Amino acid sequence: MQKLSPLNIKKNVTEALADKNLQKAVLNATASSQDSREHIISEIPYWEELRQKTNNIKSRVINNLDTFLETFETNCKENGIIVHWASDDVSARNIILKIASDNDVKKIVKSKSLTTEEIFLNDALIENGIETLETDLGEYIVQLKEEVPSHLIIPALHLSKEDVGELFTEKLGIEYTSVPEELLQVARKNIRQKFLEADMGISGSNFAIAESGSFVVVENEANAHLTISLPKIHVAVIGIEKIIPDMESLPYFLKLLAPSATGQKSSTYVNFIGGPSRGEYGEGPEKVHVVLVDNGRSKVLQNEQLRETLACIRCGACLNSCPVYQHIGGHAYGWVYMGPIGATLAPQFLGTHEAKYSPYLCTLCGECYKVCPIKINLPEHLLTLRNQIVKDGETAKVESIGMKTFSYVASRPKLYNLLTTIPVVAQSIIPDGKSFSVPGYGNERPLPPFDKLGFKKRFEKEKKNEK
Amino acid sequence: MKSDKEIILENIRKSLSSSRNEVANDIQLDNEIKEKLNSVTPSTQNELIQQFQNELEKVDAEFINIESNENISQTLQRLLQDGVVNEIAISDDELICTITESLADITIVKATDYEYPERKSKISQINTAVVFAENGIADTGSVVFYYNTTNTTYPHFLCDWTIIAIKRDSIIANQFELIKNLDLEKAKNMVFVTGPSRTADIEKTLVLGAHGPRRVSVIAIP
Repeated sequence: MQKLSPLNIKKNVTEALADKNLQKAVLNATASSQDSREHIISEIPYWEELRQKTNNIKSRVINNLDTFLETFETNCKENGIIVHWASDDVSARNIILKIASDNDVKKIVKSKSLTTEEIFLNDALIENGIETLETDLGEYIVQLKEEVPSHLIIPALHLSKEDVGELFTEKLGIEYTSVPEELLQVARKNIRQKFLEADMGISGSNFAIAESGSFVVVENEANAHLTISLPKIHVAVIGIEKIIPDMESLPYFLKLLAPSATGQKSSTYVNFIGGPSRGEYGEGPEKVHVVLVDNGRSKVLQNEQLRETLACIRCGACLNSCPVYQHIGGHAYGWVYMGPIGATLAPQFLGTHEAKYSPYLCTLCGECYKVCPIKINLPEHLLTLRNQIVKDGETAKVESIGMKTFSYVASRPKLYNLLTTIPVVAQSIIPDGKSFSVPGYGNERPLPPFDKLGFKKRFEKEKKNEK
Repeated sequence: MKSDKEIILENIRKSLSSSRNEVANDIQLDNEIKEKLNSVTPSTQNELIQQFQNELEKVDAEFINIESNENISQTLQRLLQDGVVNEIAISDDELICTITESLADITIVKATDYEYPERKSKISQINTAVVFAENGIADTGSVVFYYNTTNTTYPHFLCDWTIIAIKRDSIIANQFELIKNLDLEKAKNMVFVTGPSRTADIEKTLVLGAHGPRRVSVIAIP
């Protein structure tokens, strides 16, 4: 499996920008997602009110997360759900490995869960000799390819149907086809068999409902329902920020999630799990475990403004709308969460050293804020985090010297006037139209030629022309 | 040594100790949402059913309206004949048992006659299911299955074609209505289903029948 780090961002971006197939795939997919989103939300006249409402609900939860988590635990227990707490990824993996070994689990089916990607769960299970299969089609594809998802909602968005066809031929030994229907049939048949054999199912959860002690898994393929209802044991890995207060709050979120994620009015399946159902109905799990994962989330609460970023419902709308994501795709971010929300969470989860480049993968155009269903002010938070990175001394020395010099010069008009003539003179020496790359940026971003007049003279001239 | 629970709760309390932001109440916001929601909600049951049908068709499901009780089995028989079906899996509800009882030339497999694990393998081999849904949600074209009324979701999820019977008066306006009137005890384990199972994971091409049914037909009955 690829080892990820946001410290590789510069290298990743250069590679991504050189990969024209990748850019085509990402641009097509994000454009289509944006179109269907816009179409559906035009039918929901209370969209803006929903955004504010869910922001308020999440804000109440986040600012009282301790109480809500304890309520959730108490009510889960009443429903017969076994609750575990994991302060970090190691603890989460150990808990799940122990559940597996206590129950003599050999085969696991999984439905899509970014939280399990975040804690590197699959590697740990497989290393311990447990067969672990991703069952969401996109996840199945990236697992076969030994990659990680490149989009929150569409894991294999970076691959073309030809790529998937070649992959299936290589790994599954089928005759080559690039027809999505045929590829799905192959996957469905293989995965169905695994569903029937599995002795444990692992899912994430979109919403954990404190008052009812139950949790919700939203999906389109039916793989999550089968993951939950076929094996005898179910484990839901849930980030502590996934709490909502009660059932009454849920429709507000559901109404926003599907349009934002996939441009549907409703996702095909909304599964509610409120305890083990095998005893009562003869099917579904005998045991339901919930693993509440912190892994950096409680730290995010420290900053009164930034804590809003925990309200994210992982719909992926910010990715689709982001001009940076559209050009570099998800892998370039070097982390399990990508796009504007990934760039915002990375320094908060991983620290400003490891994620010192992440918040700079942003043009501050503000599109992500406009489309965020929970109205999270991502551009503002990205600016705050850039500020934090500078304060923590994580910027390059040359940049910090440069900024200090600029500040010194810019506050002395005479010196400024004198020095700004230098580029103008320099430009006349450089052959026509030639420019050079900007230090610290990729080669894709050359410095445009300087104006021959310089700013002040140009400004005077334009002002005269206007008169 | 502290438990992970203690560590997490302590960290949260420490992080929030500087201040816990207060959020203004939602009274005005709730009213605005309610007003706008009402403006797009049909006022009669017939209009609701029409909306339900429209939404179902948008998500690639079929809708069949049956006017009188006598016609239910007949319609079902014809539907199954057209689909060349000779075996169906059914859920354990009185209504479904009654309407499938008189079907001719069709083997009926009641899911709950089989204990786990035979149930899952048996149902997985059958192509068509006839099941009951407790509610319909008009504005999304969804149906709602409760474990405690159907006792099984295998027929719906493991068969390729699901025929879902639903009572016309159980079709309600939206999820807000549904949750408001929900018996929480009864609804602990439930699932909303909106059309056939689907994926667009390969180049955003929509393909039906990802892991669940490829075809969904909803029969509304008196």
